[in-house]
Formats: sequence, C-alpha cells, structure tokens
Amino acid sequence: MHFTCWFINPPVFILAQGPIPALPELGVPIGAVATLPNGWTDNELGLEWFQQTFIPFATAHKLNDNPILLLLDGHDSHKTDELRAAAYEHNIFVLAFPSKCTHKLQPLDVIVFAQVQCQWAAHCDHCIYENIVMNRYNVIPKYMQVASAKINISYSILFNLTTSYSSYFGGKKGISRNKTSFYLLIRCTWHP
Amino acid sequence: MAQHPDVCYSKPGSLDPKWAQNFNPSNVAGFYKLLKVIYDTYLDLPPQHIWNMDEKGLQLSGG
Repeated sequence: MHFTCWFINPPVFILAQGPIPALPELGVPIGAVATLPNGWTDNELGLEWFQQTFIPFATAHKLNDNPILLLLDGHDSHKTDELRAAAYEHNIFVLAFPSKCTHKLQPLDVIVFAQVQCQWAAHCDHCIYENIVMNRYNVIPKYMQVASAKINISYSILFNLTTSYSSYFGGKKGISRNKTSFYLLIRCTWHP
Repeated sequence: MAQHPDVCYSKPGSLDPKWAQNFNPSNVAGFYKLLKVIYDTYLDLPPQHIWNMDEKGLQLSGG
C-alpha cells in the first residue's frame, strides 16, 4: 500500500486449495488470486507477489530515479535470496521491521488492518443475520467493499504520520513542529 | 468437564512475552537508524517511493 498518495497496490488473495474465481467476474481491482493448501504465504508465493504485482505497480508510479523503499515485516518469505536479487535489480530497498515489533511499528497493521478487521466482523454478523452464505466466490468482492470504505478514513491518519517522518528526516522547513510529532509517535507507541 | 478431558479452562494471554521483550528502545532505535540512513542518502526521496506491505488473515465467518 502506498503511504501518501492514496495508491493501493492491488491486493493479492490466497485461498485454501480449490477452484479459483475468475478475476474479471469479480469486478474489483485486485492483483491476483492464488491457492495454497493452508492459505498462508510461502516463499515462492511471496516472490511471485513481489515480481508480478509489486514491481510493475511501484515502478509505474515512480517520479524520478530515486530508489523505491519497501517496508515490511521479517517474515521468511520476505527475505529469500531470489527476492533480494529481484529487489537489487530494480533498485528497491527492502527494510524489515525488527522482529516481534510489528504490533507497534507496522503502520498498515496498527492503523488500517485493525479497523478493516473490525468492520469485516460486523459485516459477517450482518450476513449471518440476513442468512447470506459466504463462500470463496463472493468473499473477495465483499471484502474489498468493506475494506475500501474503511481504508479512506485510515489514510488520513497514515498521511499525517508519514509526512512527519519524511519532514523530520529530510530536514526541511517547519522542522520543529514535525520533529515534535515524530517524537510523539515514538512516545505514544511505546508501551507494548 | 470431567467427561471431556480434552477441554480445558484457560484465559487468553494479554501479550506474548516475546513481543514485550523485543519491543525495546534499542531495537526500535536500530530500525529508525537504518531508515534514517536511507533518508539521508537520498535527500529528495519522494513519498511516492515509500511503500508498506503486510499480510492479513481473513476468515469467512468474521473475526
């Protein structure tokens, strides 16, 4: 996901093994749908996401020749040699959050996903009440619908947060105010 | 309960001790130090070049 310009890298869904719904029929902008026996990412799938979804999308939104910076957590699938090679080739820095710290440092997890998850649970309760059966074919459009409504709100918080990051490090004008908010960020996220 | 030995009482833990242990000033400072190196090296790195990715589990029943 993109920090300031409201771009979302098309999300990739991983379903448990079984038939895959056809992408155009879903009618939502997503990157890909894949299947794995247990539904979790493995090294190959992580690499595939990086090469086929992230690199084309991020490169297409580049403004100048500066490198791309990708922040992610230290999952095994994010630090394979193949992924590093691909990142090096395309001038991408991959920076991982320290392990066991993502619950506080990962902005996407702390701000966006937490809210979407809450909204999704409410939506599922509603479906049970209305007797709507959720299956592998309708779950993706439904989830995108719930998520996009919630994500717009979360963005504004993220925006404030990251502009203070860049202004602090960039040493631009108005540093005193941004510096404060940067420290504030560390302070308020301190207690585990 | 006696008829179901595989069922047990337990309280959900508040926070994994490993999380609490690893979330400390030096770890976090180490991360920001690396981030600062990148920002310092590329002074005009536009925000459009900064991306964040995470994975999320999704249950059909919510939660």
